[in-house]
Amino acid sequence: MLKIVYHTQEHRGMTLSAPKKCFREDAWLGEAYYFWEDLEDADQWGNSSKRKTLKYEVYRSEINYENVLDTVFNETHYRFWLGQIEKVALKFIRSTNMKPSLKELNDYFKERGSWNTVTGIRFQDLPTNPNRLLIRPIEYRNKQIPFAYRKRIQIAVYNDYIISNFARLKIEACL
Amino acid sequence: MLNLQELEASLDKALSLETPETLTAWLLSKRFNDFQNTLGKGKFVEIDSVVFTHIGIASTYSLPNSESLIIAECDCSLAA
Repeated sequence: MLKIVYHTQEHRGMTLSAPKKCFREDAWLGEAYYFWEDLEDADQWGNSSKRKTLKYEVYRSEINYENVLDTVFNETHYRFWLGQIEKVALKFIRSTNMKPSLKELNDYFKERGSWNTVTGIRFQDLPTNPNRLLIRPIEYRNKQIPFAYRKRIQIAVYNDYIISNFARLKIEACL
Repeated sequence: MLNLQELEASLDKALSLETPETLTAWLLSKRFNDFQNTLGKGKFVEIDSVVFTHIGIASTYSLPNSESLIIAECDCSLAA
């Protein structure tokens, strides 16, 4: 199954011919190529995290989801992944007295668990910008609590051969 | 199509071979490598002088060899 996804980077004058792999410590799904499924999230990421040159670029690509672990829409995959995360995390805590990060756990799956057939992980969290919500915040005890009803879906790709037709879609000025 | 049983079996096998020492070593090594990655590409170089800017006035101070500063020439490639 091919799906269109988006990759956001700072605008630096050179057009990328391929996505950039993320090695950052806060790359929550491990060392991978990160893409957003919704253009709105790609733009939001550009405005929040790719501001250094005051412009960001969004690249469009297609990804083959056949061997992607889908923790968003596949309940079997989600519960399997959750089980493995907690199993390995507990092992680390009991053995080392240290809590691993999600990145470290995903890296462990690939490096020690030899999860070579997993070409990527589809993951969700919640959007961070309450201004883009189309509903009123929940009002409770004089507080306004934004309720993010939309999933922020991304995919962390481990094997770049599932990426195709990577091309720049647009350059935008940061808001 | 992913074979979840195979994935689990592979992971369980890896876990069965681990000891507290191997897991600790792996985790600390991972964290050290992650720290190095945050520094970006490049190397540490020694410099003999440093420019200080104070209230808009730039001054260059020469440092004695024993107090040479070491800075990194970073080519920090941001990604994701």
